[in-house]
Amino acid sequence: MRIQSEQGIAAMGVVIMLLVVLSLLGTALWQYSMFEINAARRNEEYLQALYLAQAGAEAAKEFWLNAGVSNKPEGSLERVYYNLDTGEFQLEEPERYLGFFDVTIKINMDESSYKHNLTEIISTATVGNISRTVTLVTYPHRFGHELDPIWYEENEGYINTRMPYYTPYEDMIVVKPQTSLRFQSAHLPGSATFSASSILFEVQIDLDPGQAVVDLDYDGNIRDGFLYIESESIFFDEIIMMYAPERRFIFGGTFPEVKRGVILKVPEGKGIPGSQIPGAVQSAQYGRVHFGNRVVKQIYNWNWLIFYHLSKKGQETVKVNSQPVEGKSFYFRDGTDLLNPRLDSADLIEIKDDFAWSQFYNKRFFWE
Amino acid sequence: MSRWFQNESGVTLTEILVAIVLISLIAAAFIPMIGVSVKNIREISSKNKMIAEYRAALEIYLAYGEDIKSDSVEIIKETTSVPIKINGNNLEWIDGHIIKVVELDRSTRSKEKLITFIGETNGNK
Repeated sequence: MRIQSEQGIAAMGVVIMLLVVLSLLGTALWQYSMFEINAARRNEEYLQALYLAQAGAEAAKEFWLNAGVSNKPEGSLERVYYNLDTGEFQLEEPERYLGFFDVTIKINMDESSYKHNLTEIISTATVGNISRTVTLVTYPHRFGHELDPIWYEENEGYINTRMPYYTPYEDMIVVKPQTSLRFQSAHLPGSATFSASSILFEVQIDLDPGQAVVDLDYDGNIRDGFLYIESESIFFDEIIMMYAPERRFIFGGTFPEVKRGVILKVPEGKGIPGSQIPGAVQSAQYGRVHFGNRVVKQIYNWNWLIFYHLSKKGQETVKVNSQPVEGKSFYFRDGTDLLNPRLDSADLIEIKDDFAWSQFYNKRFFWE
Repeated sequence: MSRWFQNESGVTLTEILVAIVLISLIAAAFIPMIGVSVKNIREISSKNKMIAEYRAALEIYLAYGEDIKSDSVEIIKETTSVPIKINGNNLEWIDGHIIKVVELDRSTRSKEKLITFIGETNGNK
Protein backbone atom coordinates (compact mmCIF):
# COMPACT_ATOMS: atom_id res chain seq x y z
CA MET A 1 0.00 0.00 0.00
CA ARG A 2 1.25 3.45 -0.84
CA ILE A 3 0.31 6.75 0.76
CA GLN A 4 -0.98 8.81 -2.07
CA SER A 5 -1.68 11.96 -0.19
CA GLU A 6 0.57 14.96 -0.77
CA GLN A 7 0.10 15.81 2.92
CA GLY A 8 2.52 13.02 3.76
CA ILE A 9 5.22 14.54 1.64
CA ALA A 10 4.55 17.97 3.13
CA ALA A 11 4.75 16.53 6.63
CA MET A 12 8.06 14.92 5.73
CA GLY A 13 9.34 18.30 4.50
CA VAL A 14 8.28 19.98 7.71
CA VAL A 15 9.98 17.29 9.77
CA ILE A 16 13.21 17.62 7.76
CA MET A 17 13.04 21.39 8.15
CA LEU A 18 12.57 20.99 11.90
CA LEU A 19 15.48 18.62 11.98
CA VAL A 20 17.71 21.11 10.17
CA VAL A 21 16.61 23.95 12.47
CA LEU A 22 17.08 21.75 15.50
CA SER A 23 20.56 20.71 14.42
CA LEU A 24 21.54 24.29 13.59
CA LEU A 25 20.19 25.49 16.93
CA GLY A 26 21.93 22.68 18.75
CA THR A 27 25.24 23.33 17.02
CA ALA A 28 25.02 27.08 17.60
CA LEU A 29 24.18 26.59 21.26
CA TRP A 30 27.01 24.11 21.63
CA GLN A 31 29.47 26.46 19.96
CA TYR A 32 28.27 29.32 22.12
CA SER A 33 28.56 27.34 25.32
CA MET A 34 32.06 26.15 24.35
CA PHE A 35 33.08 29.72 23.59
CA GLU A 36 31.71 30.86 26.93
CA ILE A 37 33.52 28.06 28.76
CA ASN A 38 36.81 29.06 27.16
CA ALA A 39 36.12 32.73 27.84
CA ALA A 40 35.42 32.01 31.51
CA ARG A 41 38.59 29.93 31.79
CA ARG A 42 40.61 32.67 30.06
CA ASN A 43 38.99 35.26 32.31
CA GLU A 44 40.05 33.30 35.38
CA GLU A 45 43.61 32.89 34.04
CA TYR A 46 43.66 36.54 33.02
CA LEU A 47 42.73 37.58 36.55
CA GLN A 48 45.16 35.15 38.17
CA ALA A 49 47.94 36.36 35.88
CA LEU A 50 47.22 39.93 36.99
CA TYR A 51 47.48 39.05 40.68
CA LEU A 52 50.53 36.90 40.13
CA ALA A 53 52.18 39.80 38.30
CA GLN A 54 51.26 42.02 41.23
CA ALA A 55 52.79 39.44 43.58
CA GLY A 56 56.08 39.64 41.64
CA ALA A 57 56.03 43.43 41.69
CA GLU A 58 55.25 43.46 45.41
CA ALA A 59 58.15 41.13 46.18
CA ALA A 60 60.52 43.23 44.07
CA LYS A 61 59.22 46.41 45.73
CA GLU A 62 59.93 44.96 49.17
CA PHE A 63 63.38 43.91 47.97
CA TRP A 64 64.02 47.43 46.68
CA LEU A 65 62.73 49.11 49.86
CA ASN A 66 64.89 46.87 52.05
CA ALA A 67 68.05 47.75 50.13
CA GLY A 68 70.21 50.67 51.30
CA VAL A 69 69.83 54.08 49.67
CA SER A 70 73.09 53.73 47.76
CA ASN A 71 72.59 50.05 46.98
CA LYS A 72 69.27 49.89 45.17
CA PRO A 73 68.95 46.78 42.97
CA GLU A 74 68.66 47.03 39.18
CA GLY A 75 68.30 44.31 36.56
CA SER A 76 66.22 41.21 35.86
CA LEU A 77 65.18 38.86 38.60
CA GLU A 78 65.26 35.13 38.05
CA ARG A 79 61.90 33.58 37.16
CA VAL A 80 59.78 32.63 40.18
CA TYR A 81 57.14 29.84 40.04
CA TYR A 82 54.17 29.23 42.30
CA ASN A 83 54.13 25.54 43.18
CA LEU A 84 50.58 24.18 43.36
CA ASP A 85 51.59 21.16 45.45
CA THR A 86 53.53 22.99 48.17
CA GLY A 87 51.75 26.34 47.93
CA GLU A 88 55.15 28.10 47.91
CA PHE A 89 57.10 30.33 45.56
CA GLN A 90 60.31 28.82 44.19
CA LEU A 91 62.98 29.35 41.54
CA GLU A 92 63.09 25.77 40.19
CA GLU A 93 60.31 24.79 37.78
CA PRO A 94 57.98 22.46 39.69
CA GLU A 95 55.93 19.60 38.19
CA ARG A 96 52.63 21.34 38.83
CA TYR A 97 52.56 25.10 38.96
CA LEU A 98 49.94 27.81 38.80
CA GLY A 99 52.17 30.15 36.83
CA PHE A 100 55.35 32.18 37.06
CA PHE A 101 56.52 35.77 37.04
CA ASP A 102 59.51 37.60 35.57
CA VAL A 103 60.47 40.96 37.07
CA THR A 104 62.77 43.72 35.89
CA ILE A 105 63.85 46.67 38.03
CA LYS A 106 65.21 49.62 36.12
CA ILE A 107 65.71 53.36 36.31
CA ASN A 108 63.99 55.23 33.53
CA MET A 109 66.74 57.07 31.65
CA ASP A 110 64.51 58.67 29.03
CA GLU A 111 64.96 62.39 29.55
CA SER A 112 61.81 63.22 27.62
CA SER A 113 59.70 61.04 29.89
CA TYR A 114 57.95 62.34 32.96
CA LYS A 115 59.32 59.22 34.63
CA HIS A 116 62.91 60.26 34.01
CA ASN A 117 65.14 59.07 36.85
CA LEU A 118 62.29 57.21 38.54
CA THR A 119 62.57 53.52 39.33
CA GLU A 120 60.24 51.15 37.49
CA ILE A 121 59.41 47.62 38.53
CA ILE A 122 57.98 45.73 35.57
CA SER A 123 56.47 42.37 36.40
CA THR A 124 55.07 39.94 33.83
CA ALA A 125 53.20 36.84 34.97
CA THR A 126 52.09 33.89 32.88
CA VAL A 127 49.23 31.60 33.82
CA GLY A 128 48.30 28.96 31.23
CA ASN A 129 48.43 30.78 27.91
CA ILE A 130 47.77 34.20 29.37
CA SER A 131 50.47 36.74 30.20
CA ARG A 132 49.95 40.05 31.94
CA THR A 133 52.31 42.85 32.83
CA VAL A 134 52.04 45.40 35.62
CA THR A 135 54.39 48.30 36.36
CA LEU A 136 55.20 49.99 39.64
CA VAL A 137 56.81 53.43 39.49
CA THR A 138 58.44 55.20 42.40
CA TYR A 139 56.64 58.20 43.64
CA PRO A 140 58.85 61.18 42.81
CA HIS A 141 59.76 61.66 46.46
CA ARG A 142 62.98 63.13 47.72
CA PHE A 143 65.21 62.27 50.62
CA GLY A 144 65.74 64.78 53.40
CA HIS A 145 69.48 64.84 52.69
CA GLU A 146 68.83 65.94 49.11
CA LEU A 147 66.86 69.04 50.05
CA ASP A 148 68.10 72.57 50.14
CA PRO A 149 68.92 73.35 52.89
CA ILE A 150 69.63 69.76 53.82
CA TRP A 151 67.86 68.35 56.85
CA TYR A 152 70.67 66.04 57.93
CA GLU A 153 74.08 64.76 56.92
CA GLU A 154 73.56 61.58 54.92
CA ASN A 155 76.51 59.45 56.04
CA GLU A 156 76.60 60.30 59.75
CA GLY A 157 72.92 61.08 60.27
CA TYR A 158 73.66 64.38 62.04
CA ILE A 159 70.63 66.67 62.18
CA ASN A 160 71.36 70.02 60.61
CA THR A 161 70.69 72.45 63.48
CA ARG A 162 72.34 75.33 61.70
CA MET A 163 69.47 75.81 59.31
CA PRO A 164 68.44 79.46 59.42
CA TYR A 165 65.09 78.51 57.97
CA TYR A 166 63.28 75.49 56.62
CA THR A 167 61.22 75.01 53.53
CA PRO A 168 57.86 73.30 53.89
CA TYR A 169 57.73 70.69 51.15
CA GLU A 170 54.42 69.74 49.61
CA ASP A 171 55.33 66.16 48.77
CA MET A 172 56.36 63.17 50.88
CA ILE A 173 59.92 63.41 52.14
CA VAL A 174 61.79 60.26 53.11
CA VAL A 175 64.35 60.49 55.90
CA LYS A 176 67.00 57.83 55.43
CA PRO A 177 70.59 58.56 56.39
CA GLN A 178 73.08 55.70 56.43
CA THR A 179 72.86 55.50 60.21
CA SER A 180 70.52 56.68 62.98
CA LEU A 181 69.32 60.25 62.89
CA ARG A 182 70.96 62.13 65.79
CA PHE A 183 72.32 65.37 67.16
CA GLN A 184 75.98 65.94 66.47
CA SER A 185 76.70 67.67 69.78
CA ALA A 186 75.98 65.93 73.06
CA HIS A 187 76.41 69.16 74.95
CA LEU A 188 74.72 71.82 72.83
CA PRO A 189 72.50 69.97 70.41
CA GLY A 190 70.33 72.84 69.21
CA SER A 191 67.02 72.25 67.47
CA ALA A 192 65.73 71.62 63.98
CA THR A 193 62.42 71.53 62.19
CA PHE A 194 61.54 69.15 59.38
CA SER A 195 58.49 70.25 57.46
CA ALA A 196 56.62 68.50 54.65
CA SER A 197 53.09 67.36 53.93
CA SER A 198 54.17 63.81 54.79
CA ILE A 199 57.40 62.56 56.32
CA LEU A 200 58.59 58.98 56.43
CA PHE A 201 61.45 57.98 58.73
CA GLU A 202 63.14 54.83 57.52
CA VAL A 203 65.72 54.87 60.30
CA GLN A 204 65.80 55.16 64.06
CA ILE A 205 65.83 58.62 65.64
CA ASP A 206 68.35 58.43 68.45
CA LEU A 207 68.49 61.61 70.52
CA ASP A 208 70.16 59.93 73.50
CA PRO A 209 73.73 61.21 73.69
CA GLY A 210 74.62 58.11 75.74
CA GLN A 211 78.15 57.87 77.05
CA ALA A 212 79.03 61.26 75.63
CA VAL A 213 76.78 63.04 78.11
CA VAL A 214 77.55 60.69 80.98
CA ASP A 215 81.17 61.67 80.63
CA LEU A 216 80.27 65.32 80.45
CA ASP A 217 81.74 67.52 83.11
CA TYR A 218 78.98 70.04 83.73
CA ASP A 219 80.06 73.56 82.99
CA GLY A 220 76.67 75.17 83.31
CA ASN A 221 76.13 75.20 79.60
CA ILE A 222 74.21 72.04 78.73
CA ARG A 223 71.11 72.62 76.58
CA ASP A 224 67.92 70.98 75.48
CA GLY A 225 67.57 69.63 71.98
CA PHE A 226 64.36 69.20 70.07
CA LEU A 227 63.50 67.79 66.72
CA TYR A 228 60.29 69.40 65.49
CA ILE A 229 58.40 67.38 62.92
CA GLU A 230 55.85 69.54 61.18
CA SER A 231 53.62 67.43 58.98
CA GLU A 232 50.09 66.14 58.49
CA SER A 233 51.20 62.50 58.11
CA ILE A 234 54.24 61.15 59.91
CA PHE A 235 55.63 57.61 59.86
CA PHE A 236 58.24 56.81 62.44
CA ASP A 237 60.54 53.85 62.84
CA GLU A 238 62.10 53.77 66.33
CA ILE A 239 62.51 56.82 68.56
CA ILE A 240 64.92 57.09 71.49
CA MET A 241 64.75 60.30 73.50
CA MET A 242 66.48 61.53 76.63
CA TYR A 243 65.27 63.15 79.83
CA ALA A 244 66.96 64.26 83.04
CA PRO A 245 64.90 65.97 85.76
CA GLU A 246 66.07 69.07 87.55
CA ARG A 247 68.05 68.36 90.73
CA ARG A 248 69.00 70.56 93.64
CA PHE A 249 72.11 69.65 95.65
CA ILE A 250 72.48 70.94 99.18
CA PHE A 251 75.94 72.32 98.56
CA GLY A 252 76.12 72.53 94.81
CA GLY A 253 73.16 74.56 93.62
CA THR A 254 70.50 73.56 91.08
CA PHE A 255 71.10 71.52 87.99
CA PRO A 256 68.67 71.98 85.11
CA GLU A 257 66.14 69.68 83.56
CA VAL A 258 67.60 68.33 80.29
CA LYS A 259 65.41 67.23 77.40
CA ARG A 260 66.21 65.74 74.03
CA GLY A 261 62.90 64.98 72.40
CA VAL A 262 60.60 65.00 69.41
CA ILE A 263 57.75 67.46 69.07
CA LEU A 264 54.98 66.95 66.56
CA LYS A 265 53.47 69.94 64.84
CA VAL A 266 50.69 70.45 62.32
CA PRO A 267 51.53 72.86 59.46
CA GLU A 268 49.64 76.12 59.70
CA GLY A 269 46.23 75.96 58.06
CA LYS A 270 46.51 72.21 57.54
CA GLY A 271 45.43 69.10 59.43
CA ILE A 272 42.11 67.85 60.76
CA PRO A 273 40.02 70.03 63.10
CA GLY A 274 39.57 68.50 66.54
CA SER A 275 35.82 68.89 66.15
CA GLN A 276 35.89 66.05 63.63
CA ILE A 277 37.71 63.60 65.93
CA PRO A 278 35.89 61.96 68.85
CA GLY A 279 37.61 62.74 72.12
CA ALA A 280 39.79 65.50 70.66
CA VAL A 281 40.15 69.11 71.76
CA GLN A 282 37.60 70.92 69.61
CA SER A 283 39.68 74.02 68.95
CA ALA A 284 42.95 72.17 68.18
CA GLN A 285 44.32 70.96 64.86
CA TYR A 286 45.42 67.35 64.47
CA GLY A 287 47.71 65.38 62.19
CA ARG A 288 48.27 61.63 61.93
CA VAL A 289 51.25 59.66 63.10
CA HIS A 290 52.22 56.00 62.89
CA PHE A 291 54.82 54.50 65.23
CA GLY A 292 56.32 51.54 63.44
CA ASN A 293 58.61 50.65 66.32
CA ARG A 294 59.14 51.45 70.00
CA VAL A 295 59.27 54.97 71.42
CA VAL A 296 61.38 55.23 74.56
CA LYS A 297 63.08 57.83 76.71
CA GLN A 298 66.36 57.24 78.46
CA ILE A 299 66.19 58.68 81.96
CA TYR A 300 69.30 60.32 83.44
CA ASN A 301 69.98 61.73 86.90
CA TRP A 302 72.32 64.46 88.05
CA ASN A 303 74.93 63.00 90.38
CA TRP A 304 78.04 64.10 92.14
CA LEU A 305 81.22 62.12 92.23
CA ILE A 306 84.26 64.40 92.31
CA PHE A 307 82.39 66.50 89.73
CA TYR A 308 78.72 66.90 88.76
CA HIS A 309 77.62 64.70 85.93
CA LEU A 310 74.63 62.91 84.44
CA SER A 311 74.29 59.17 84.95
CA LYS A 312 71.90 56.84 83.26
CA LYS A 313 69.03 55.70 85.47
CA GLY A 314 66.88 53.58 83.18
CA GLN A 315 64.48 53.55 80.29
CA GLU A 316 60.77 54.37 80.03
CA THR A 317 58.48 53.41 77.21
CA VAL A 318 56.14 56.09 75.95
CA LYS A 319 52.59 54.86 76.50
CA VAL A 320 49.08 56.00 75.75
CA ASN A 321 46.36 54.61 78.02
CA SER A 322 48.99 52.32 79.61
CA GLN A 323 49.81 50.75 76.25
CA PRO A 324 53.05 51.27 74.29
CA VAL A 325 52.48 53.28 71.12
CA GLU A 326 54.56 50.85 69.06
CA GLY A 327 52.80 49.56 65.93
CA LYS A 328 49.85 51.93 66.33
CA SER A 329 48.52 55.00 64.61
CA PHE A 330 47.26 58.14 66.33
CA TYR A 331 45.81 61.54 65.69
CA PHE A 332 48.30 63.94 67.24
CA ARG A 333 47.54 67.38 68.53
CA ASP A 334 49.60 70.30 67.25
CA GLY A 335 52.54 70.70 69.62
CA THR A 336 52.55 67.19 71.07
CA ASP A 337 55.75 66.55 73.02
CA LEU A 338 56.56 62.85 72.70
CA LEU A 339 58.65 63.01 75.85
CA ASN A 340 55.46 63.59 77.76
CA PRO A 341 52.22 63.25 75.79
CA ARG A 342 49.36 64.72 77.81
CA LEU A 343 46.48 62.29 77.73
CA ASP A 344 44.15 64.65 79.57
CA SER A 345 44.71 67.18 76.81
CA ALA A 346 44.12 64.54 74.14
CA ASP A 347 47.58 64.82 72.58
CA LEU A 348 47.45 61.34 71.07
CA ILE A 349 44.15 59.69 70.12
CA GLU A 350 44.44 56.19 68.75
CA ILE A 351 43.13 55.51 65.26
CA LYS A 352 41.55 52.13 65.72
CA ASP A 353 41.05 51.16 62.09
CA ASP A 354 44.22 52.54 60.59
CA PHE A 355 44.91 50.05 57.80
CA ALA A 356 43.64 52.11 54.88
CA TRP A 357 45.44 55.24 56.04
CA SER A 358 48.68 53.49 56.88
CA GLN A 359 48.75 52.15 53.31
CA PHE A 360 50.03 55.61 52.51
CA TYR A 361 53.30 54.35 53.90
CA ASN A 362 53.67 52.24 50.80
CA LYS A 363 52.94 55.05 48.41
CA ARG A 364 56.55 55.30 47.46
CA PHE A 365 55.43 53.29 44.46
CA PHE A 366 52.36 53.67 42.31
CA TRP A 367 50.72 51.09 40.08
CA GLU A 368 50.70 52.03 36.46
CA MET B 1 13.17 16.52 -8.61
CA SER B 2 10.05 17.87 -10.26
CA ARG B 3 9.28 14.39 -11.55
CA TRP B 4 9.56 13.09 -8.00
CA PHE B 5 6.92 15.60 -6.90
CA GLN B 6 4.70 14.73 -9.89
CA ASN B 7 4.90 11.07 -9.07
CA GLU B 8 1.43 10.05 -7.93
CA SER B 9 2.60 6.76 -6.50
CA GLY B 10 3.31 8.27 -2.97
CA VAL B 11 5.31 6.57 -0.23
CA THR B 12 4.68 3.42 1.72
CA LEU B 13 3.91 3.36 5.44
CA THR B 14 7.13 1.42 5.96
CA GLU B 15 9.11 4.19 4.28
CA ILE B 16 7.44 6.76 6.53
CA LEU B 17 8.15 4.70 9.63
CA VAL B 18 11.80 4.22 8.64
CA ALA B 19 12.11 7.94 8.00
CA ILE B 20 10.54 8.76 11.38
CA VAL B 21 12.91 6.39 13.16
CA LEU B 22 15.94 7.87 11.37
CA ILE B 23 14.84 11.42 12.11
CA SER B 24 14.19 10.52 15.74
CA LEU B 25 17.64 9.02 16.04
CA ILE B 26 19.30 12.11 14.62
CA ALA B 27 17.11 14.40 16.76
CA ALA B 28 17.93 12.29 19.79
CA ALA B 29 21.58 13.15 19.22
CA PHE B 30 20.88 16.88 19.10
CA ILE B 31 18.43 17.21 21.98
CA PRO B 32 20.95 16.27 24.71
CA MET B 33 23.44 18.59 23.02
CA ILE B 34 20.97 21.43 23.43
CA GLY B 35 20.31 20.38 27.01
CA VAL B 36 24.03 20.26 27.85
CA SER B 37 24.62 23.60 26.15
CA VAL B 38 21.85 25.27 28.13
CA LYS B 39 23.25 23.76 31.34
CA ASN B 40 26.76 24.95 30.43
CA ILE B 41 25.55 28.46 29.76
CA ARG B 42 23.82 28.55 33.15
CA GLU B 43 26.97 27.29 34.90
CA ILE B 44 29.19 29.80 33.10
CA SER B 45 26.94 32.62 34.14
CA SER B 46 27.24 31.50 37.74
CA LYS B 47 31.01 31.00 37.36
CA ASN B 48 31.46 34.52 35.97
CA LYS B 49 29.52 35.83 38.95
CA MET B 50 31.83 33.89 41.27
CA ILE B 51 34.96 35.23 39.53
CA ALA B 52 33.65 38.77 40.07
CA GLU B 53 33.09 37.86 43.72
CA TYR B 54 36.66 36.48 44.11
CA ARG B 55 38.06 39.65 42.65
CA ALA B 56 35.91 41.90 44.82
CA ALA B 57 36.92 39.95 47.93
CA LEU B 58 40.62 40.23 47.08
CA GLU B 59 40.49 43.90 46.16
CA ILE B 60 38.63 44.78 49.37
CA TYR B 61 41.16 42.81 51.38
CA LEU B 62 44.13 44.45 49.65
CA ALA B 63 42.66 47.93 50.05
CA TYR B 64 41.24 47.75 53.55
CA GLY B 65 42.56 44.55 55.10
CA GLU B 66 39.00 43.36 55.58
CA ASP B 67 37.75 39.89 54.82
CA ILE B 68 34.23 40.15 53.41
CA LYS B 69 31.91 37.70 55.07
CA SER B 70 30.42 35.37 52.52
CA ASP B 71 29.11 31.81 52.39
CA SER B 72 31.01 31.09 49.23
CA VAL B 73 34.33 32.96 49.46
CA GLU B 74 36.99 33.19 52.12
CA ILE B 75 40.33 35.02 52.31
CA ILE B 76 43.28 33.12 53.75
CA LYS B 77 46.51 34.89 54.70
CA GLU B 78 49.59 32.71 55.16
CA THR B 79 53.14 33.71 56.04
CA THR B 80 55.61 32.93 53.28
CA SER B 81 58.80 34.05 51.56
CA VAL B 82 59.55 34.76 47.93
CA PRO B 83 63.03 33.89 46.59
CA ILE B 84 64.74 36.76 44.82
CA LYS B 85 67.89 36.37 42.79
CA ILE B 86 69.18 39.22 40.66
CA ASN B 87 72.22 39.56 38.39
CA GLY B 88 73.71 36.30 39.69
CA ASN B 89 73.87 37.65 43.24
CA ASN B 90 73.09 35.61 46.32
CA LEU B 91 69.60 34.32 46.85
CA GLU B 92 67.50 36.49 49.14
CA TRP B 93 64.14 35.69 50.67
CA ILE B 94 61.49 38.37 50.87
CA ASP B 95 59.17 37.81 53.80
CA GLY B 96 55.50 38.47 53.41
CA HIS B 97 52.11 36.86 53.09
CA ILE B 98 50.32 34.85 50.45
CA ILE B 99 46.74 36.02 50.15
CA LYS B 100 44.45 33.30 48.82
CA VAL B 101 40.85 33.63 47.76
CA VAL B 102 39.25 30.29 48.52
CA GLU B 103 35.94 29.09 47.18
CA LEU B 104 33.92 27.37 49.87
CA ASP B 105 32.20 24.55 48.03
CA ARG B 106 29.93 22.52 50.28
CA SER B 107 29.87 19.48 48.02
CA THR B 108 33.63 19.23 47.51
CA ARG B 109 36.69 20.49 49.29
CA SER B 110 37.66 24.18 49.33
CA LYS B 111 39.38 25.38 46.18
CA GLU B 112 41.99 28.13 45.85
CA LYS B 113 40.82 30.52 43.20
CA LEU B 114 43.10 33.60 43.26
CA ILE B 115 46.54 33.97 44.77
CA THR B 116 48.73 37.01 45.33
CA PHE B 117 51.55 38.17 47.62
CA ILE B 118 52.07 41.20 49.80
CA GLY B 119 55.36 42.10 51.41
CA GLU B 120 55.99 42.15 55.15
CA THR B 121 55.95 45.96 55.24
CA ASN B 122 52.66 46.15 53.45
CA GLY B 123 51.02 43.31 55.30
CA ASN B 124 51.89 44.56 58.76
CA LYS B 125 50.75 48.11 58.35
